[in-house]
Amino acid sequence: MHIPPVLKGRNVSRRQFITGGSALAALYALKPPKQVFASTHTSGIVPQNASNTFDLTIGWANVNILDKPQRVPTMNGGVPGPILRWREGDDLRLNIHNTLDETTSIHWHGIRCPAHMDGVPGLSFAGIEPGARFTYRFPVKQSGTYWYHSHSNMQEAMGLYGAIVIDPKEPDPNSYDRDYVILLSDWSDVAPHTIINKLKFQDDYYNFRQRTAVSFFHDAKKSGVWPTLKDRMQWAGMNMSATDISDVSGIIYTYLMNGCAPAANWTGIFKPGERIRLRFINASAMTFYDIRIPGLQMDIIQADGNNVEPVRVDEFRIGVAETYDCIVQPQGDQAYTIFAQSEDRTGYARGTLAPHSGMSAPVPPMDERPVRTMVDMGMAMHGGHDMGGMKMHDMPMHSAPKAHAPPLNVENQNRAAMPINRLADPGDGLQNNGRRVLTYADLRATHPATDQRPPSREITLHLTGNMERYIWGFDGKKFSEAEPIPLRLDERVRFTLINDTMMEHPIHLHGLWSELENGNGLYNPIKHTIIVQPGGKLSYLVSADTPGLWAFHCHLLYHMDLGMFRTVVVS
Amino acid sequence: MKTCLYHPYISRFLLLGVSALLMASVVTQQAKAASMNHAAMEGMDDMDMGDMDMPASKPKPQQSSKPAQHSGHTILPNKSTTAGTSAYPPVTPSAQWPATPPPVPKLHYVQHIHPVMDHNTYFHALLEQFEGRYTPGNSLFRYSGQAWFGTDYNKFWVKSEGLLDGHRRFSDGDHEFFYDRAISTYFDVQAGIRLDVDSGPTRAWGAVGVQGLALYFFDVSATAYFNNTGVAGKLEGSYDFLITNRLILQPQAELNFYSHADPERGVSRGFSDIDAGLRLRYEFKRQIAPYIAVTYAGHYGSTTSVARNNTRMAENGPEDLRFTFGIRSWF
Repeated sequence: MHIPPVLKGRNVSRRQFITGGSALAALYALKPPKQVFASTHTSGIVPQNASNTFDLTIGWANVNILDKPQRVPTMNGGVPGPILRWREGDDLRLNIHNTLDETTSIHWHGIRCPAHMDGVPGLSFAGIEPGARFTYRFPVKQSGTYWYHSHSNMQEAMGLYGAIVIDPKEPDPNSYDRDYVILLSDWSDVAPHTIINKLKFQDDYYNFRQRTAVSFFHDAKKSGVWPTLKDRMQWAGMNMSATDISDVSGIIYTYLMNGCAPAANWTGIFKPGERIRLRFINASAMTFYDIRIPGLQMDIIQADGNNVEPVRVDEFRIGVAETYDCIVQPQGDQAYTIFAQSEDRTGYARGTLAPHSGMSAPVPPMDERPVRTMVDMGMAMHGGHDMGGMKMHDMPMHSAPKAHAPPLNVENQNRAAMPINRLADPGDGLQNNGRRVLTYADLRATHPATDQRPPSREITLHLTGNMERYIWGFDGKKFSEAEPIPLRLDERVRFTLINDTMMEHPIHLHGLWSELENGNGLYNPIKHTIIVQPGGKLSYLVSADTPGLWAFHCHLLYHMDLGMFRTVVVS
Repeated sequence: MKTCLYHPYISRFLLLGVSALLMASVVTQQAKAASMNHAAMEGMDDMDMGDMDMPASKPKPQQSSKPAQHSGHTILPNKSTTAGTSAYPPVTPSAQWPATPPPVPKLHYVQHIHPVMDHNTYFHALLEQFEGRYTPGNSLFRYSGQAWFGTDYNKFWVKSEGLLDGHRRFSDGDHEFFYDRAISTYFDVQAGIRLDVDSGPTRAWGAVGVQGLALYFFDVSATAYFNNTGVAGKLEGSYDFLITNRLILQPQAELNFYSHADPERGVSRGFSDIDAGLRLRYEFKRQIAPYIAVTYAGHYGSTTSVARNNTRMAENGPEDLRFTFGIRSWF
């Protein structure tokens, strides 16, 4: 007998279930939970019930994605690890047993917990020694979709990550019939340290789509010989490459959806007419995805675990470590492809929503790959030629004084002369593609900010790097050379970020919320990870309401590990 | 049982329940938000609200779902409303919350664990030339490579090159050992020693130079050498011209200058010699690329003694153009 994977009907609130729903309880009891749990690693199915106690084992496992088993660190033996379902208001106990022969840690990404429970070795926490056990204990004060990952020794890049789903205390404003986690990640048989080593020697090691003599003729045919030549000379004159989209590409990455390679075709079952909640999580080390489901529109209802006013889109970009929840309602008795192409268009993750297992829909071709422009170099006013219909508002008033511009030095290659507000820009490769693509300007919180004070001071940071030497940092300094960023307890500050590099950086502040200033005032969306587009400038407000040492970093893992990291001290 | 749960009546009933709850929560939110707005505005009255509303691009939230803003507008006085919903509230320091950053505390990382490893050492080696140079009846073998070990800023750097002829005579043996320091975005300075060690007489030099990436992606280096007999200089440059992403044409040249002739080593005063190549490599793998090339070695000695003592020149003439093939590799 075919058992539909989820019959939860999550439009039943927990309270209803507990108090009155004995008939429903009987229904729940009838379902075979074992079957469901056995496949939680890759099924994407949210466990039926939340729990407040978890026994989790971190250990080596042989994971076989590319017909060559790789020994990687895992949680409970799977990539991704199990989906953890929590409940807002619970006191959690997460018992971790480290069976690896190296130190490990688990960071609860986006979770507001005490600093010593945040799981970053060195910052109020020593890590979990080989063979040791550690119990994370903290109260759950939030709800939504989050994820967890190791913060030790590149274990995250190898497969030590998984999803967190937290039931709200209040009834969920979003009704839905089915609930799937769609966790995206980038898998490689090449070890992370090897990747870093290659990038240190040659930053474009994994880029086989550079401009060449052959492509010159194509480009010249399209835009004329002289403009093509001029454009190329302009880039070469800066020692930069317009084809620099992702440092690590589909050459070695296989993009996974819930741990399934594209050929394995992860499938979520639905009944036509049902409202399906898809919880997208980007657990990749280095990859941004552009996600769409041809034939379906998506109502974005949550970003980084916080509800937003529904926005109906055809497509959205998810940066590393971000989460987006959306509702889709397929009516037809047909299959739909969930298509997540990497930003550099060197590959995609793919899965299917289908009324019956075994069905599939056509996989669309990948879009043309993006090419960086002078906008990305922070020179929008000088040489920008592809602004599309994009609006440019310079963020006034609190723009950084010129004096703050970072030095051009060993660690910094570029200075954005004219950084612009790119919040209404869907991002490189998505402009004017004929689809309605989500932008940061579309996000509007459903609840007003709890801390409504204006900021008492501003912290301006430039995101900097030197591709050639493969060094990353803030203000031209990598972590090991920089001072920590001090915040007063309960202070409200504005972080203004200016991206002087030519790549997107998903900036993640641990432990505190980042309220993105996108023009919605008290209804600014609340995030934990914020993409700063190249040549872009944005700000967000932070209430330093939890003391301790917090990590603040780019979530592109190799950028973080090579210096784009600061310790924020709240005291 | 699936039919049970998905029975239209049940789901409709549930939906009704949820929407009722939703509406209730919206109402309470509105009330809450209104009072919060009001509270937040007190004490902000004396602020200059002149140009506070930023022209930020407002998204168009669906009309049905705009809970608190309307109530905020109607309930609160105009001025305060502007502040509360201002897109970018200005920085507003106070006695309690000054605009200056607090002092940076001394940090203690638990067990001295660094959260990131941005200060690692790396070891890399590049064998740029590893090639046979041919003319009919005569072949030469040449290599040129470098290796470095260290951090982003400080490295130990070794360069070595040499030429082996058909008589197993080793010439042009140039081995350099440097301390290397990164000084700018694209350039390093290097200081160390050079040892000319081959089948000829040995020479030792002090060496100072720069190496890096000039604009337009030219790899260049310039090194000055000195010892008790005089000074010397070496200029090197190469450029990777991408025909395709794997087929790469690389013009390369090395020029040597000396303040004094050294006949025993076949070195003449002034512009002494050049070694250049036009190499076409194919990167099957990034790190192993076979190539074919045309190479040219020119010795511009003016004295006959130079010519006599330079075995290579004696055999091959002062200008030596050859067909070459080799393998470029690195790790």
